[in-house]
Amino acid sequence: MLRSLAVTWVVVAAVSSVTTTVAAAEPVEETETIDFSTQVQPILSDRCFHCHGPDADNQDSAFRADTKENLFADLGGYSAIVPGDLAASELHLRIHSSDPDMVMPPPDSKRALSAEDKRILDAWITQGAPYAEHWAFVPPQRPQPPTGVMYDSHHPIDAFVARRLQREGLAMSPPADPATMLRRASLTLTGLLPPPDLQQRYLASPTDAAYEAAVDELLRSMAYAERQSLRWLDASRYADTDGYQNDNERTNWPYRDWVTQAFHDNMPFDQFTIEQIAGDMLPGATESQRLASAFNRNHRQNGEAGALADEFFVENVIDRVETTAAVWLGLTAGCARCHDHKYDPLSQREFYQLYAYFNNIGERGVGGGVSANPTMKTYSPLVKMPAELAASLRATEESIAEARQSLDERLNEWAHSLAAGLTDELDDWTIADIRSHELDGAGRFDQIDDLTLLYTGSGSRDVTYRVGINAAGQTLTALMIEALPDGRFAMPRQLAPSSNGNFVLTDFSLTLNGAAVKIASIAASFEQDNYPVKNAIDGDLKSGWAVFGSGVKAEPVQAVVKFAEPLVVTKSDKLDVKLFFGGDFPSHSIGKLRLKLTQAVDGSLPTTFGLGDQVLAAIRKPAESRSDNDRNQIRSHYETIDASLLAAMAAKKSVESELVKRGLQQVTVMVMQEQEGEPAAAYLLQRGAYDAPDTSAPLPRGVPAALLSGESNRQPQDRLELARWLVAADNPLTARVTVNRMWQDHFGVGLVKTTEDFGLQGEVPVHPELLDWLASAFVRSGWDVRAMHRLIVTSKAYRQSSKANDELNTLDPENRLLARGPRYRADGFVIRDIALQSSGLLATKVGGRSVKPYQPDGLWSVVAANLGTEYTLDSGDDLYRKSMYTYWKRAVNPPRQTIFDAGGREVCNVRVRRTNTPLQSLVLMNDPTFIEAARHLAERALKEVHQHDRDRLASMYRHALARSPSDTVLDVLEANAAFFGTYYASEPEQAAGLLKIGESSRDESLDVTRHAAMTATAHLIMNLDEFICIE
Amino acid sequence: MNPLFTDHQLHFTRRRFFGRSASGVGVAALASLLGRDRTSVAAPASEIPRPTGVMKAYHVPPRAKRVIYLFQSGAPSQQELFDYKPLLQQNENKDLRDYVDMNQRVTGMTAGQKTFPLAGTRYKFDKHGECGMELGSELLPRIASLADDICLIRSMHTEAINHDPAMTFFQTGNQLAGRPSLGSWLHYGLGTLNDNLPTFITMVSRGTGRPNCQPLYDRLWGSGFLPSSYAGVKLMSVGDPVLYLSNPEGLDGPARRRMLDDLAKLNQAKLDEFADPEISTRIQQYELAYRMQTSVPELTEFSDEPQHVLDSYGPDVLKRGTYAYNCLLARRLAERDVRFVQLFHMGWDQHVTLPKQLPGQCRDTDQPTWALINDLKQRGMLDDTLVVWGGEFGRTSYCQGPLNADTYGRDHHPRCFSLWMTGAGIRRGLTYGATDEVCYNITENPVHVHDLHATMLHLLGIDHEQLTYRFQGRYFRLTDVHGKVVNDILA
Repeated sequence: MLRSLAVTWVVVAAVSSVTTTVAAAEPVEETETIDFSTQVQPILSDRCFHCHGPDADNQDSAFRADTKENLFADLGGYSAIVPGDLAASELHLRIHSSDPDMVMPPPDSKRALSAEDKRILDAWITQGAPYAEHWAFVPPQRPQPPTGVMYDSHHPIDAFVARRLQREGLAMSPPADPATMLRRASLTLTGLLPPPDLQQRYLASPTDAAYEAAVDELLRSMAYAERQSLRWLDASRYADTDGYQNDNERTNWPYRDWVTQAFHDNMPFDQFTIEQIAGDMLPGATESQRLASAFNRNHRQNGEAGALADEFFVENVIDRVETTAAVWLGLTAGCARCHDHKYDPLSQREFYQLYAYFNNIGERGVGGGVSANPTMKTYSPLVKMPAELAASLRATEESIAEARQSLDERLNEWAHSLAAGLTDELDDWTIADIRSHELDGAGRFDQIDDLTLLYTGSGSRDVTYRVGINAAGQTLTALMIEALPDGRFAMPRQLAPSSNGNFVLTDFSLTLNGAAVKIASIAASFEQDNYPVKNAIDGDLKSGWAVFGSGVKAEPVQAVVKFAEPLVVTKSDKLDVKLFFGGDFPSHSIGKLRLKLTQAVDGSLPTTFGLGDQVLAAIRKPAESRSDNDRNQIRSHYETIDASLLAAMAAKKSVESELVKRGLQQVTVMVMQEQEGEPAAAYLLQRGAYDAPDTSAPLPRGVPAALLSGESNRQPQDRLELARWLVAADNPLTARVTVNRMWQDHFGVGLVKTTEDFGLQGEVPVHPELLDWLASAFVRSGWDVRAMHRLIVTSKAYRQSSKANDELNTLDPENRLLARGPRYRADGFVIRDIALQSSGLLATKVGGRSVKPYQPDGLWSVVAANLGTEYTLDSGDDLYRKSMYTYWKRAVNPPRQTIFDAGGREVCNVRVRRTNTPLQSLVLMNDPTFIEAARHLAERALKEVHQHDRDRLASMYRHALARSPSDTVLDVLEANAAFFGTYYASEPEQAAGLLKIGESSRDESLDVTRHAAMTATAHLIMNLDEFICIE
Repeated sequence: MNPLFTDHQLHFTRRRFFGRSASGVGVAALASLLGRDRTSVAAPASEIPRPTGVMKAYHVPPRAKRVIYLFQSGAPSQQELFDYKPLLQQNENKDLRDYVDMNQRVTGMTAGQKTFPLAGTRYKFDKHGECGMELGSELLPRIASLADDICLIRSMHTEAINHDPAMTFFQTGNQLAGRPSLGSWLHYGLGTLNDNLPTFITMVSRGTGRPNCQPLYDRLWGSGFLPSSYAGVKLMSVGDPVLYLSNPEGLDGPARRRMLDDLAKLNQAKLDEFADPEISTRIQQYELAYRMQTSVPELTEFSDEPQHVLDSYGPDVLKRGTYAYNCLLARRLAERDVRFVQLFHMGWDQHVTLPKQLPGQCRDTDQPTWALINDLKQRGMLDDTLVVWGGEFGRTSYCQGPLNADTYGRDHHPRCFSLWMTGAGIRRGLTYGATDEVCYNITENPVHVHDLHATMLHLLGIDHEQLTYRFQGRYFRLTDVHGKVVNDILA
């Protein structure tokens, strides 16, 4: 930096005025010691780093304020900071300058320092400017919990909290009443109300020991594992669709179940980490460990036509870096994608060094998720397969293996006899002479010179081709429908103007003078699974013949229709063919159609039928001169016709369909699978653009230098070593970030509120020592997740009453100091689940395919790529599963959840948000879910034995709130029920209407008026603030 | 107002709320409930009320009070509608590469094409209005008749080449999902103007030209990292216009009122005991929800519209889910001072068989758009309403798919395209920016999406560099670190 004489003069002039002002305004208190990390660093970061921070390449000034060396550096005869010497410190002069050209931050930066900020900076310099590294980048020490009579020494958390409160002249509140305390613990640990028997046992004798026993019981429940999974699914951006344009379905749900199983097993968090980051790379990786690696495949996947693979490859990898950094390190790594991080010591180069751990799985950046390699087929870890099914499955697998073993023998025989008898029987077939052709429906249908009929049109549906044939003087035995590929249609099939070149022929008929010709049989050269050619003549206008499958190419396909009797056609006869393309898929009509006829006596199929050009060519060669490719061609064809193999496969299929029926199928999950050999190169992408790699310098893998501690400053060499580094004892961040999220789970807000950001712009913890103590306790416990939750919920801080008052609301509106217990609105998942639970409707099945409960009509169709993409409501128990199993479509999130602030699962989300909106009120007022639940809650109470209705109301309240109502509350409920009793007695139709809501049936023995009135009151209870709040 | 609420409690709540440093929970909604007069008719431009969002004063004098954004999703072809290029007709079938250095990336759909044959438009252009604006009047005759009312920008450009990233970019200033949409920023910055309706409302319609097209998704009007109360509320074309709006059977009228009264009583008792200010907000949100149950149906009840107004929007105006219906609803929302109304009309993605698809798309939008502008104008609302009409990128001058007398198509082109604006603060009758003779590059006055955003915010009284939100340690803004106000198009 150059300083002209003129500038020097200005500065000197500024000094005198400034020093006086400072002295006059607010003298620095000598007793207060300024803490660099919590008081000074946040100011420097927030107000200065944008232009004087780590991103040296992208700022106008060479001066940096981000390290001790930079702050104290000699800038040419002067320094920004001269410890202990305010007047000599340029920083002091600049922040107090009244010259708009000199003052920092400059007016056009739209950043400013408050008087308090300036006072802190000055005081810090005066006190000798002690410097410290950013607190979160230094491994936590194990602070000793304060001791002494003032602090509760029984529980370390309370010791820290009490000391801080004492400094503020505050104290903790008395404990919450036992029922409230148990409800709170149950809701934050399991997302459900405490089970009734637990309530009963605990409330009979609510001692500390009984509370701890209750907590242990909750921690062992499956509901605990599910609740923890739900939080983790937000972090791991788990969803049931791919996101982006067409938002296709994927089937990664076994991963979701893996997470639940891991929490239920209380898998140590270090193992939990290693398996999810690099399960595929563990020596002898088990199926379960490979499945765990799906964590980093939950990213969105772009299947939009025309999307560029290179571009979205980069986006996928970057998503992994950002997610991993946010979840384990609490770092906003994405900021360094385009330039060095503005605040944190993470350079752009280091960002792409992190990238290099995640770019080596051989994926293609585009395409649908279920085919987005690498993938694996797997069962859900929660599936308990019945023994008899497992045995039949094994048996069918064995018979498939047997059939394969003996396949070569049969294959050789077949190929030999085929080759010997190979005649070009196609000579018997002639191309039909077209007399007329007509089209019903959208598009064009033209005859072109090669005797084929060409159909063009887009988005068409329900199209009919009518073709008249001249066959005078012939005695026909069969007709062939041939679809020919053409370059104007879409790959891979190129047989129709549809998006993939496939067609669905839903109906075929042949008439002679208007009378149907009897058909003996129909066969096709190729049939898609579940779309056999016989569907075309089954009279069902929805089912049809289609020709898609994996690995299909642009090849002709044929269907041959044999007549029951030879068909004699005379000159005056009219022979007409009708093809109808209905069904659900647009433009699935044969594009280039040719019809052929034969008079061969038996109308037999050509021996070459369905072989395909390549197989045919291979068969024609002498056996000894066939290449490997030829043999493979023949073999893969033969496998589709070998009777033994087909029978064995069919047997397996029937076992599998039984499994599917019971929700036990294997599905495709996107997983990580590190490639063998040289790792894929990684480069710095200039401006973060996928097509601007700096190929002059390949980057080695590495984690940011600032996070490597002295002892083990060796860079992890691959993803597995990276995973181990994340959970190494001296990693400064992982344990802190993780316990902070657990704290958030219970108190509603973390000790560091910015759960996702522990960097310099993140919040400085309110209780830094408590956070560090918890972090080291977590590591020392062997990363015992359950133990940490237990520790938190057994503290007095957690168990105190959540009643506030004017004074507390003024002193600590956000309750960060914890002079009272947590009180906050539950999330949308919990709210629906406890409504179902209190009504008795909740289905407790764990894991499996996601389900579709009630949602308003029309939500999906508006956003669907194709008209008619509908949400199909599930039935039975699936309507009442826990909300974590609700199908998560990224394009249209389940509205109930998002209205209550759920993240969209597009990207990683670890921070909890809570709004309070009228749309939330509308959900609780009108969503049939809550009306139906209220009806069942009422039914439950009506069937209980109570002397008075007042007791019945109290019981209903207890089911919903897990505590007893006060008399005041009961009075209102009683008056409410009385009102509705009278109301529904005079409005029987209204009563009947109310009781009709929901798919579940009603106990018809209950009096309609009474049931409706109790339902209305139950619904009122479910709308209470206290019902939807953790209190 | 619920009589249960004493002045003291209101005061308590207000103080508590505005004193909170948390995420501003419910602040906007609450602010809207307290101490502001309701206006049933649109105030003239000179009376644009002070902002009630995070901004307490305008950064620059506002020109617009509200926005109606007519998003044409899929990318309308500028060569057919707004930017006439005779060279394409004269040299049809010649290769684009003979005219320009084709350094723009192409999509995977035409990347494999061996040739890039020029395709001329099949549709007539004419000069319109006193300003002589050249427009594709064969397809958009009525919009063309508005020439003197609109400002046509022929030099828009964007960064994304596929629909999803491009839509996301237009909506949020970033190609990847996760940032707040334009409407959310406005709500966050300026607050609400209306007591009974959401501040940011979106509506979706499907084009008849191409009914099966790329989909839209809720996050396009999402609030990103802003609290979800700032998200756009989509009015549904089936069922309740606002999700969960109608009372269930059996809980209507007096039953509903009784339920809400008892609920308020019980919640009030809770508030007295726990002193949690969120409870008082909740009580008021129930009352707002109750009012929305009246105000929304009243909004969608068109029977008070004179027949000639209905007629002007065309035959589909009474059909829910059509663009015409949405246009009339947009006017009614604007009248009720909904800050930001955004329509999305799908189906403008004419890759192939353009002549079969485009006329239908144009028919959908031409008359209703024209009617909306005229309607606003007649009511004096065009002076304080900003209207934008456009898609997410442009289309190529080379043909995708078969090119012959009957048919042709165009792929995506982000490097130049057209968009038009009118209303508050916009210079009318202006044609701004230009492209080269093959509509490949911009030759003058480029306008980036960030610039459009900066300009829109400017008209609403916002300095786009000052409206920020701190998230993940960074101050984010709609225009990222870019954008400049296009002063040339301002009146």
